[in-house]
Amino acid sequence: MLFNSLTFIIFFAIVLGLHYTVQSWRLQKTILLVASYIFYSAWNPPFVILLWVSTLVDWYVAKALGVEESQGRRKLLLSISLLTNLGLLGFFKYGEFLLENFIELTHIAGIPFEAAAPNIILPVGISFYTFQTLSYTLDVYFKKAKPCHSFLDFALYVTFFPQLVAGPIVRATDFLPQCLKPRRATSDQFGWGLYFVVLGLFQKVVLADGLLSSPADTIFSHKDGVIHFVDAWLGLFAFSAQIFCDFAGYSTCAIGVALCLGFILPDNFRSPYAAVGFSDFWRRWHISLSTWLRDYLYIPLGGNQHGTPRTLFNLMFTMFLGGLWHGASWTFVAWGLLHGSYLVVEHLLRQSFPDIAWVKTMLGRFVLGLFTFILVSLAWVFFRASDFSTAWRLLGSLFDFTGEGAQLLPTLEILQVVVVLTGLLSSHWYLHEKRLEHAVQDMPAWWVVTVWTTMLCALILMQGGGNAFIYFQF
Amino acid sequence: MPSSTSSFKTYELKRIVPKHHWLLLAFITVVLTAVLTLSWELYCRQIGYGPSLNDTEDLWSSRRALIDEDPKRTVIIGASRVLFDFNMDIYEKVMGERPIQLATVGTNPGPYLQDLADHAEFSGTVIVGVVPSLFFAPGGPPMKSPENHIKRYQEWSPTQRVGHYLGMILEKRLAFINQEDLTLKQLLLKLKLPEREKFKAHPEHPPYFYRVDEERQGGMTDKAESDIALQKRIQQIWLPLFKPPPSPEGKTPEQIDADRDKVVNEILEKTKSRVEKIRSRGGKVVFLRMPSTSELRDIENKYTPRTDYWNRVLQVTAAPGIHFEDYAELSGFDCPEWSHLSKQDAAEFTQRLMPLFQKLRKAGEM
Repeated sequence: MLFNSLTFIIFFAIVLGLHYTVQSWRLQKTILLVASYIFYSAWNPPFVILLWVSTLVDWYVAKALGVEESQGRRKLLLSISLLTNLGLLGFFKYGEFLLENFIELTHIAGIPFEAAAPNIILPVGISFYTFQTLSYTLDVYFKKAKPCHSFLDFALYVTFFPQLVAGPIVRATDFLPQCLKPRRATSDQFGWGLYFVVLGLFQKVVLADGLLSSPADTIFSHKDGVIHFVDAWLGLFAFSAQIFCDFAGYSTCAIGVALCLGFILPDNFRSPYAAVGFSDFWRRWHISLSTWLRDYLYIPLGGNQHGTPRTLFNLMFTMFLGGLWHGASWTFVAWGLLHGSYLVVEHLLRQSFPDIAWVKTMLGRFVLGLFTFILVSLAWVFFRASDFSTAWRLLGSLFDFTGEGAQLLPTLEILQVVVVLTGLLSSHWYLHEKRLEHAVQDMPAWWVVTVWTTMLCALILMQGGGNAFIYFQF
Repeated sequence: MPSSTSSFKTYELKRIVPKHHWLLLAFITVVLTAVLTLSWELYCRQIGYGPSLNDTEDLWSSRRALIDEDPKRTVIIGASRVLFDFNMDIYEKVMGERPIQLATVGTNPGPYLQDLADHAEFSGTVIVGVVPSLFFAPGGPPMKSPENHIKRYQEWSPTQRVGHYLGMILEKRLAFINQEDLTLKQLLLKLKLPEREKFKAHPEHPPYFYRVDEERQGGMTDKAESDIALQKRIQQIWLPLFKPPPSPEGKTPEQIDADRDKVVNEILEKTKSRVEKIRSRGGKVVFLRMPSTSELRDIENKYTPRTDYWNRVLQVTAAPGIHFEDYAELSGFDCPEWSHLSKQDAAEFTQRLMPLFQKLRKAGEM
């Protein structure tokens, strides 16, 4: 079920009605759990079974880990969870990719091997809930958390519908304590939650789908020859803005929906396009994934505690897997490795030039921020391109300043990209060191109402066709 | 990926609520939005729009689903002409069966025919509306549109079904819900900003001029039937759309002809095999050429002459076909914008078509 659908509006109204009329907290949680299964099965009912498998396996593994002291058996238990979760993820998400590459390898080796296309359908959100359940088992394994005592609470943690399919990836230590006491939003929390929902939908439906997707699609789907560099850059920036508005829009909706139900979800984005440097970028972009990778991959690999070469390898390896998490394609791997390289270079520069005064000036930060944004956008080429030939062709166009090449974008779309991008970058710079909540608090009430009404009217006027969120495919 | 392993908390699980009276602000926002929306609705009605259904992939899917329920039904596929000009009430009255309308605007019916050929149980009659320039389109939007419709049906989730039925409740009551003409995107397009010199604009598509009902019975809007200026505008839009795209650079006329012949032959072969597959299960296929007039008909005669296209479809497939120019009773209709009949003429045209269909039925070809 999509947030940007009429079905969700009816569904959410019913869930809210039930949530606030029922008195028993246990019953409230049961209603939320059933609602979450309905929410998920609205895509493809049989895939709920995968959720149940993941829930049951991690519930029993963590329970056993809670009492087991033998290191060998603890490792065995952990491997059961890892094998089940990563096995399902591997089969559904990477099965075809692995098979394709295997066939390619056999051909290189001169073995004429062919296999029927397996035609595997990717269960929506599998990467998100797999990482979520894994974090719980890993926390219990590393004794950072105790096993949950309520199966209902745990099942709700795995399945909680606002963030089930596209994050934020919530840690058990953040969510399960919220299940202990009845959650009811105050009237102000409820209103603020609704504001978040409208803001998220505005980002998704109006900005990402309505104003940015067409120029991005035009540039990335062009197959014949060079694109004029102005169009190429605008198309690329359109995608940079689109992917942010799409994904941050989902997270914002999720946070708002949860808040209306009295639950608090963590921020997933914090003005990422105002980041100065790539470490800063990953502190601001898809925060719940970057912290997951940091805590469960980068630090266990040794982090930055074993010398520079090892640190650089750890960074590259983490970003390699981060890229692969996004999709079963070498272009995603290239995107991850490119970000890994950015982090490596930044790490080395910070080591070599620890105290450069101009970097800390306003102008210096602005220039570095802009440079970061451009390099992040260049990496999106690999993320968005359907294959390497498209990516190389677009990169060629971006740096072909001869003025030759096809002019693909109409004036209207050029204006759309310029206006939205300017607004987006300005708002990110404005909120660089500030939370949205504080900025809204400083606004007079009439201004809040004006912005809210404008967003709602734009949503109504856009008549969005219910496009899926980009991150659902991951 | 933050490169430091220092224990920093990148988020705090506390959500600050800005100090405002949020429920009051929400109430004022809802009231303001309702007033603005109502004003917009009234304005849209004032300028001639009325509530109508959006001809979406969901609406198409709701009709496509009927084939699975009853695979012996008669199905209409093709492009806008057979969607607008074929009156299903009259067909039902005469032939005793309600057909399923699956034609969609601007499409090559090939993928729809393939979908029916691949259906394990389909054994009904397929009426294929043929607009040669679309029927022989090798790719681009005429192919993408039917492929997207079929994909939508194949992946139609429970939530999309519910959303479709909820959407129809609103579409039947509100004039401003009109994806053809009144979305923010469409309204921005009406600004008609000047383009850069080297920008190659896509051919313009006609403005909103048709509507469909729940069964996808199509037809021109009243405005399109009576507004001469709108008709003239649409006529001028058809002309470039019905001309072939510019020839690729660096190819001789002979090479271009050879390429085109190759495409035509491939499409004919595919059509033949699809028709045979449907017939092998007891199904029937009838091709139908609906009227077009004036300069548009001249263009069609020039670029897609019937000897090279229509006649060959019938010849290769050995299926029956009805061309409006072959029957006096089907000729002489006036298409207000050169490509489609008015609703009244569509009913009359269908009425005159029925004896020909009855003959085909008697001959066991339908």
